[in-house]
Amino acid sequence: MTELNRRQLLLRGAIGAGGLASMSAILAACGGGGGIEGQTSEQATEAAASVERTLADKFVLSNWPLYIDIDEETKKSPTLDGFTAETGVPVEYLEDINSNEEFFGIVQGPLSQGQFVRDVAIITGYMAARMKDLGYLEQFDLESVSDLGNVSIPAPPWNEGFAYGVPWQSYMTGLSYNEDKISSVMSVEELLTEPALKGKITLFNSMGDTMGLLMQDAGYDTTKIDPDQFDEQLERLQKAVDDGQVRQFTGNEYTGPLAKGDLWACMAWSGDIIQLQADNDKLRFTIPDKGGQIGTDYMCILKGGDVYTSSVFANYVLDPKIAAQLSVYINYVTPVSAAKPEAEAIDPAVSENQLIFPDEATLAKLQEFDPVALNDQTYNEKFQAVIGA
Amino acid sequence: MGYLRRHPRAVPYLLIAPGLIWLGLLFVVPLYYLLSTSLQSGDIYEGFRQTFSWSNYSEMASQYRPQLVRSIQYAAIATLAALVIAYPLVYFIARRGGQWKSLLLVLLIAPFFVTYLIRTLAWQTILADEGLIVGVLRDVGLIADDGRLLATSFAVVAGITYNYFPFMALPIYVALEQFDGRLLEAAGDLYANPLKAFLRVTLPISLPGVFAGTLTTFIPAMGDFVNAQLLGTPKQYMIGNVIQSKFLVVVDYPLASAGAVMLMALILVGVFLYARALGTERLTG
Repeated sequence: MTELNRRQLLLRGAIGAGGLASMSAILAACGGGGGIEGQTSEQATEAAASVERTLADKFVLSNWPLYIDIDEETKKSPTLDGFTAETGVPVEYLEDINSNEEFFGIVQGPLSQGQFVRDVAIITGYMAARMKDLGYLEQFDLESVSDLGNVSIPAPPWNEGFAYGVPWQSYMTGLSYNEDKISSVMSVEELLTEPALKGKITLFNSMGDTMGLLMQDAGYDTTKIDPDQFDEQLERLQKAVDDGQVRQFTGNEYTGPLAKGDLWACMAWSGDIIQLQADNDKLRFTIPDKGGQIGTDYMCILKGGDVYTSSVFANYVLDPKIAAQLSVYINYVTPVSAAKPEAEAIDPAVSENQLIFPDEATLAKLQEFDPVALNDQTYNEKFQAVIGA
Repeated sequence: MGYLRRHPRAVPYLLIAPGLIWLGLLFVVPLYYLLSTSLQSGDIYEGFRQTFSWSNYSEMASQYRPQLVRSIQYAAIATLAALVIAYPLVYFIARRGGQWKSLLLVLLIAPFFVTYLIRTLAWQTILADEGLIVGVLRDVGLIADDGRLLATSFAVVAGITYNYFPFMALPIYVALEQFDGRLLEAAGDLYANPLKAFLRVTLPISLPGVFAGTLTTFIPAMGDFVNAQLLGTPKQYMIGNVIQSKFLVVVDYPLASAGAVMLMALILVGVFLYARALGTERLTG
């Protein structure tokens, strides 16, 4: 590690300006949470022992673009403003995460040197698992996150009791198609073999999404990856690439061609399609009968971040009112199911939307891809070789 | 000041010091770590250790040969295309631009005030399957009814050509702008026809500009990965895409570094051969 870290010293100049939050705490004005009857676990008691329950004088939060509520008039986030009003802690809000990998590349150097980078970053589960294993994450002060009881999704094995990551939003990976071009695309098999779709489809360049849907289509469990099943489905993917069926492997950038009609069908993220449907009502999103993927982005306290302030913030956004406010704007799946009645009051159409508040039947079809496999070099290398890089 | 007066020989070294420190810190040191990392082995959890694994290089070279070859091809075609487009254009601006010269130059550069990514994404619209260009080409039968331009090698090369165009155009412009038009008159007086005058006078004088232009276009084009990612398919991926994925996605820093060193070495050798072929003394003299 040492060789590498020294090299990355040079990277740091570029990102060092990220903002140093002073750790000198001020007295808590009032707490959003602080309840003690919340979830407790061994980790929580352990962590709580060392937590000084005073709020920091600044809170630095890193997030993805368009992943928070923004008031059209003031151009400010009601959620963040509300947090500051309630706690007196100003938020330095950075929309600087465009991909988990890129963000990891940026913060890894400073974190491995024990430097402060951000208080909280919102990152996807598998990356949070990796950063936890590398010792880059602080544990939440779970006693201060009493609203964790509102979370309606199960805690994954790497994150027992949500000690290392508190859910922000979840997203579903399924299929989208343009009804103007093709009557329906209901399965991955159809997507990969339908002659009319040749050169008209895209898949994701993220392994979990693409391989997850393929493996589910074949009836395999994606929460624990079997190497033979993985290889078998990878071969199937390779064939679709060789046949010219797959036009591209993309991140977010599939949305433009899909909206324009260059793509007839593709793998898609639920939240994107909701936003695209506003302009093109012919776009459909479907979770295949054989199943779709669900991924969750977590708020994680990066090493050196203020644990108490971060925990108070996490608790604040788990409040059903705030969670509703966020989900109505962001259009992703909220982890707080109790937010539904609150969302109904703000916008009934949103609370009806299966893509934002999926029902039990939809949820039952969703699986989360094995985070161990997602962090495995061999799987990644094999997948990258098929997608051409 | 007294020190300088007593040691006049120190002056040049002092003058060159900031540049050397800059180069040392931002080029030599990172290069050292790049070379060193390229010979390591390990993974992110266990850490990377120096094991002098030269196999990293052979692995990169054998496994990713298609991408490497493709990078050279695309960069070469894009450089040539940029040269063919840029030369007449800047010739016109420099020699015939007159009072419009500055305006024309601004127009040439204006698109490049827009960020690289947006410019590349704009090509997605220009070459869209349902777009004007593809529609016209389909109507005249130049591409098949189910054919496309986007997500092909053509789109990637077009994107690269466009994105590095100013790096080709500006050096040639400077070379053409500076040369004394009376030389052409003299050539005419010596019975050279316009073509001969161009080949014997204009072209040799502009050669340093062409040399600089081809280098500043070819070198970044070789390492480009954005155009292949946004305008191509996996079949168009270049070595830059491989390095990017090794570095960020697979998190295999040694292999990524080996790829970067190989790319750098290839470019150095290429530039050396190119300079030898053109003759450096003619270019710098």
